[in-house]
Amino acid sequence: MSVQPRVLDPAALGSLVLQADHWRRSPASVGGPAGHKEWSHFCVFGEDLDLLINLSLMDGFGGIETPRLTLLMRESGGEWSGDVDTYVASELEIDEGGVDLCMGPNTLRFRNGAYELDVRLARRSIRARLRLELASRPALTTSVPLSDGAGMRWFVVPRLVASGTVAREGRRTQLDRAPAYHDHDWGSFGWGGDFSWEWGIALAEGAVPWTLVFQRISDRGRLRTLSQGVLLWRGDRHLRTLHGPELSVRCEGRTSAAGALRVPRIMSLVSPGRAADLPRRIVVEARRGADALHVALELGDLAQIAIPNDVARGATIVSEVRSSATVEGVVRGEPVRFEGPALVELNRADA
Amino acid sequence: MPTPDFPAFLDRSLAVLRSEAPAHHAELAVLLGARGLCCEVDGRSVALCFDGARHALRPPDRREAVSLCTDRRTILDLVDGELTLLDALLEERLWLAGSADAVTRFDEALTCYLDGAIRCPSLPPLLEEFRRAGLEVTLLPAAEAHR
Repeated sequence: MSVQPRVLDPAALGSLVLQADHWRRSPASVGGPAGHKEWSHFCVFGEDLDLLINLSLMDGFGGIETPRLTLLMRESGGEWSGDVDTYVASELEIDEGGVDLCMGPNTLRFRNGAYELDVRLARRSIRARLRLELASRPALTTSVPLSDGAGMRWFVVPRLVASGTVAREGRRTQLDRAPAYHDHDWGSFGWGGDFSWEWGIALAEGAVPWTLVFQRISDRGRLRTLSQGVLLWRGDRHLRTLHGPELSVRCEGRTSAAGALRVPRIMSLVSPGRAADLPRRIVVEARRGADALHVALELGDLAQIAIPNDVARGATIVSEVRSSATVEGVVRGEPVRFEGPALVELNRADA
Repeated sequence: MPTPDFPAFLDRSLAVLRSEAPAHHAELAVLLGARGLCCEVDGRSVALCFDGARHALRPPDRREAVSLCTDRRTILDLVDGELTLLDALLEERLWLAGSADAVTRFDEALTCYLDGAIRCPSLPPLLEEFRRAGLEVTLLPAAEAHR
């Protein structure tokens, strides 16, 4: 049976987004503890290009909230471009308790059941103007433990459809209902702490719009798993979450980061090392009762985002790896079988 | 506003480091010390040294532990990830002179400076000013030709 991605009732879903996808902001600004981290993350899989857009507010040194835009673009041939732009507090405007944000010339707005993004890089010729309509119901997760009592929460809209234009270096690409993903993460922790993560999304291209999210959080040495899970949506509805001991995860092979784009570019000077523990393939076997899923993520080309550590010198390197997913199994009595584009994110502290 | 040349940029960036990443500034003081470092950028030389925890720029007097010679373009190429430090040295776009111990210490000091700089919210605008000033300098001859 074919299930087309559909745009859900904007009014009903819009109220959910407004209730849960607002900016939390750092308590340090009102005398609370520093260490707050928060970002609103969008991934778009177009025919000719993929986009990763991340608007973040993070307490930096001395508890100063620092706004940043990370914009990465991947051409269909596997070439990555983009950068990280940092703004000062006076260039940030957020409605109290709202979803909307202005960061320098960049805007995120939520209007009529859709996210509207207009983002551009200060020193690179890339601009994206997108409207992302919800094609699945949002979900809010419980706290995900990181380390030392720190935790992170996330709000997710696993599937959206993105339309708009991307302009770069004098070329324009029109996106028309391209599959997309959004999440909003927040918590209080220090980069460079005793944690690492693997996280991935896969969006089916077939008749049934399956969406899968995989996450595993480990200690820094990846000797102990703190949490892991696979979440599966069928069309606009969440179908099943398998987690903890229901999952067996294995990493195979090695992906090289040599020559990969690293942003912001100054981090290639600060943290030039390219040795990295990045697998070529992540295989997840998940089972609960009669439900079983086999997930294979084949990792391909990548770009890296380098974030200065809070708790030590050096940087945390977040590798964004364009991947492909193959998923097979049975959930709630229904066969699940799809292939599709995936993005895998691997977090590794380098020092 | 005067064109921010390298000595002005260095002085202001160290003031920002002292204010926004004081631990890095303090470590830099220990690593470079009173003998300090001589920097020649685009033919203009300045010595950076520390008197206790305070940094100071002064004319070089050949007593500096390490001498560095480069140009603004190379600094910006390094900052923009277009060039590695090793390639800058091998391509002779950056020269370093000093004893092995002093050069090793300079490398630690540079790492410390950069590690602090990326944590300072006030540094990106300062760097942008330094970058724009470089463009002005590059464009000047062409502007002169139209007079």
